[in-house]
Amino acid sequence: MQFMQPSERRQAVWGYALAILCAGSALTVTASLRNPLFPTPLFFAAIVITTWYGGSVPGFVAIALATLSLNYYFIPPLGSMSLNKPEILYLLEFALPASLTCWFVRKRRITETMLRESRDKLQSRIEQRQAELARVSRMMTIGEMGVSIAHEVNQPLMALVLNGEACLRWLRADPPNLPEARKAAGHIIEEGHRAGAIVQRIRALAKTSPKRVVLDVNEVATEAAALLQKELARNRVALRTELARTLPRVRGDRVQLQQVIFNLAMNAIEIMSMETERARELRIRTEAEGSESIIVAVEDTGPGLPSGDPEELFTAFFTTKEDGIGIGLSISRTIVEAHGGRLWAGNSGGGAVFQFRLPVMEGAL
Amino acid sequence: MTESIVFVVDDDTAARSAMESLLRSVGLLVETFGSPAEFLRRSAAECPCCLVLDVRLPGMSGLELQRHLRSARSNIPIIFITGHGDIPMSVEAMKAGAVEFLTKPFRGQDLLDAIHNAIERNRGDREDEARIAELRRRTGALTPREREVMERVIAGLLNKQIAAELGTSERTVKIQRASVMKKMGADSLPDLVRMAEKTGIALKG
Repeated sequence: MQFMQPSERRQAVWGYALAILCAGSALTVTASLRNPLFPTPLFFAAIVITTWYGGSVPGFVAIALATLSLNYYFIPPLGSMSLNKPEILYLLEFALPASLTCWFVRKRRITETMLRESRDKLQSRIEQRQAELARVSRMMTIGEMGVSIAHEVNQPLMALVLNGEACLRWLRADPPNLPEARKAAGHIIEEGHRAGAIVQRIRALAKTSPKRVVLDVNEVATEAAALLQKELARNRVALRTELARTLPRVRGDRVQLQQVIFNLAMNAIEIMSMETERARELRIRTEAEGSESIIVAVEDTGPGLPSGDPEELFTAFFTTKEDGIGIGLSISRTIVEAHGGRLWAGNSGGGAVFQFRLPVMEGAL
Repeated sequence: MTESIVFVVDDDTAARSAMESLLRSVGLLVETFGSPAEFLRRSAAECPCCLVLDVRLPGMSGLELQRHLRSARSNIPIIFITGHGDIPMSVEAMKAGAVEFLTKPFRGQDLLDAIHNAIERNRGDREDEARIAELRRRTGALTPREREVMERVIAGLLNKQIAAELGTSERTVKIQRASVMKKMGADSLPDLVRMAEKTGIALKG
């Protein structure tokens, strides 16, 4: 005989205890009804319950107990275990269907357990895939942001170089023009700081694990807008930011939320770049919604949402773009929901509006 | 170097002031603008000048400003600067007559060299223009008959042939011809032909 694992032994003991408990209860209740016409139903129930929760062996134990109880207490001659032919037939008529039921119940139970396990396995695999997808999209977004950043870094770099050359020339002049040289040197320092700030932003982007910190969403929106400058200029889109003067703080991942705003704005810019008639204006708006939550809205002056269910836009791999793969919005929604918020789409006066609500940090002003 | 002026159009304040400082340090006169619209509000310069122009600008882009200036018959030389080594764009700009296309960050000396060339080119253009304007003025001072004579002279006709065509005497043509040479300030026939070419007087076939 093989050794049983402690958990298996506990399971077996529990099964037998259940068999005894159920059969005993059935016996007690049935016996309290004086001379029941059909003494079997409660025993039947006891067997089903035991099999479902205890397994097949305790189930058969319950059948045995029930059969013995029926024979002793309810089949004449009462109070005796003796058997004659009609008694045996009666008991068989009980025990055989009971065994069959026991078998079916067990089978059903096993199937259900297997189904639940495979469902859980699928669920976790889906979650894994979603996380992968989010990472890929993030890498792609970082690539797009990279081009933007390169352009941004170039500006201060050029100013640095030119100011340096100018400074040297002012010093080399005869007589040296010190005020001008000093001014140029001052500009060099300013531009160095400007480049440094951009590098810091890149470093923030490179941090991969989501970090929940106390955030001013106005800042996040401003940073996202800065990353959009190149695309805005390229597509001749005017940017209007309407930030709430004071905004309660939220707890969240700065880069992820930046990515959401960036994604929504990029979609808006792309949609508007196909427009030739209308003025192209991107509006990024933040506002407090009572003291509970805040709203961030990204509006465009494009053609508005395509007809149909706006929720469809958020399903993965749904895209209206020729070269899109349709994960931007679905990932944005995943991020917002991971922050305890909600992201939805609608039409405003002149175009589409995508907005999300984030809960305010507890105890925040 | 006579008075010359450099215009700089760039939306980035820091880049603008850096270029201004550099250009002033070598003694150039500089005027900076944050947008093409601002630049267009300024009246055209009276002295040799050139334009340093950022390609990507809010509102009207650098290339659009270039087209606008060309259609307004401005011959101001343009030096483009760009943040991206965007080849198709630079080709377009050069085709449209840009003098130089610099990719940021460029060396200050490159910019100064480009500006020097551009201003020299503009100076040459302006001198040509002035010369042509003077010649036009001189041609304008000719009487209709003198003009007819001049057209035939530069077409290579002899005095006798001209007299026959215009129904007058060879002597009269000779006098009118001398008057044309004097009014135009031409020393010889080839000189007169060159002048006619420049002012665009049609050669009579």
